[in-house]
Amino acid sequence: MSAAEEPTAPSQPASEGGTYFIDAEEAAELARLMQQDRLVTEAMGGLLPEVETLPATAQVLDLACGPGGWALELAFHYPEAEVIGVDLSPSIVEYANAQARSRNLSNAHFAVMNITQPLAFSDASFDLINARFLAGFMRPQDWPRLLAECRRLLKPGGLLRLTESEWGLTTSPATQRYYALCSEALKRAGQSFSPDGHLLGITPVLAPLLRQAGFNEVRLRGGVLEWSSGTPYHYSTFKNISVMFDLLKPFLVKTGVARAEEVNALYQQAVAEMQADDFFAVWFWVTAWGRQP
Amino acid sequence: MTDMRENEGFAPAGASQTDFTYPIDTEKVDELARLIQQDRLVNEAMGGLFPEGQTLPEGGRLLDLACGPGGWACEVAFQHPSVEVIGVDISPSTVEYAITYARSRGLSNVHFQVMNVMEPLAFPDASFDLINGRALFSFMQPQDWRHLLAECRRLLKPGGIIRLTESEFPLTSSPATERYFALIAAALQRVGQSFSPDGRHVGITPVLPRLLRQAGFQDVRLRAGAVEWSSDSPMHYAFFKDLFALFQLIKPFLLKTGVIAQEELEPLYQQAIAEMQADDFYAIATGLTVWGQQPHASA
Repeated sequence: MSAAEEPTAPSQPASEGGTYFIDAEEAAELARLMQQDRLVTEAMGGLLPEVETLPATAQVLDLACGPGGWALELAFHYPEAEVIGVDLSPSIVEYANAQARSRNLSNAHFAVMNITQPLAFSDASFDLINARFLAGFMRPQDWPRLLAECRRLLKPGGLLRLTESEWGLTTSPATQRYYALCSEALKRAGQSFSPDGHLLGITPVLAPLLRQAGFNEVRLRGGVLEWSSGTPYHYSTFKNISVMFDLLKPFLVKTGVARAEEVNALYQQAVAEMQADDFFAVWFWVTAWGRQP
Repeated sequence: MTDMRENEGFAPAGASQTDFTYPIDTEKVDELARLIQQDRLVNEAMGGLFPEGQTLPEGGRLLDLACGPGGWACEVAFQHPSVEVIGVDISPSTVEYAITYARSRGLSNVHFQVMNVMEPLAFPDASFDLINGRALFSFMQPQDWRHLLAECRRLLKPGGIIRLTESEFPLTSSPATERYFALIAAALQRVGQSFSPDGRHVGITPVLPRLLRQAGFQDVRLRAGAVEWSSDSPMHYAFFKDLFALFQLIKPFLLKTGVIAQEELEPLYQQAIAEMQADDFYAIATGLTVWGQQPHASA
């Protein structure tokens, strides 16, 4: 697709234009995103567990693709398809393109693009648009605009597939408190659908957003991953969450939900509790998908 | 029994007062009606009777714990005529309803008995191929799980399956509904029926897989179900009706545990009911099924 070769969207530095609540340029964040990508795809039961058939020569767009794990896997499994990933972060996009080159995946391309802005693709150019975990940087008012843009970009009959989650649920008091602070901070920053600021509040509204944007046959599917101590997902998810918590510290302090010393102490406590033998945890997500009329 | 109910404000559902951990009076007809509907909702939300793909052996025996009005047990009996299904519940009136319901459907392979699942169960060792339990959190205290699962180990044949489905509260866009759920969670924590570290959730889902593993079940696996019940979705009315009844029936429990005062509760209830019926009401319910296998060799 020619559009992808000449991305015209401004490569907006995360520190200025981005609302993503942790500095996407940090190396730790990149490592975390790569790990998360792999974990989630595996736990979700594959790349497209809900989609029975994808046209062999499908044009696929992955929104806020991160380091490109999902897009690269899809390009590998569908060699005749063309997969384009877009992300706000230039370093992440550069990394994803390097991955595509090193794996000889000529059908995967990555471009710097801010998905809260109009996207530099022509109308009706995709068969499938995929996005996972956008709630971290989208404000409620950004969703209708993005979904309208997806309506524009999808071919008739094309699919939009969104996966979002609330926080995980654990037996660790400090971890639950840290999640609650993150929810409260997001609420204060205007990045929450939650009526009481207790959770992200994205999962109840996901399917309605798709319907309101005019998608048909909107459906929902739940998924779950256990990451209790002693289970196969524990260590990687623990790393994932502890890095996220660490990177979120400035956001929590900036939004005024807690003082720096409180955040630090709580963080230490959460990290300790997540490593205890009696730590139990599950993480739920939902995938909602709908069809372009 | 009537006196006790009035004094306690709890469900005098079984033989002794210590049994009354279910926060609603199970002898109330509204609660029975609610449970009958809820049965169908859970099936719908989880994707059927055995969405995880377990197979039932010909002539196998199934036990359904705290079976309520027997909807799941009867449906299994109907779809699998070669198996025998036994449902047990603490509430005599609910069991009576289930027996009548089974008879009206002409099902001879399903039976119901009054039994408290928190006490030893009156079945011989290794007598079931599958034991099912759903929404047991509503009356179980954390320490009860270990006893119940040990009892399930005793009752299952080698290679038999235990299958438990639990959930946290639904998640909605309605502030009053969220507050109502938070109050129920807090009330459950006050009476010691919560795994939640902060009393904001039921807290059963994170611990459920570990409970099965600790009881010695093998190959423990998880599956999530999700169903939307926003205003403009097909499941809205069914869920709304369920919560309309639940929120009403659970009022005595909320007042008794002191999580809210009477004069605050009534307006909150009215507000929640109104918000759930608004056009811009959005909601999702998720469930978790965890299942595991009884070891083949006697451990």
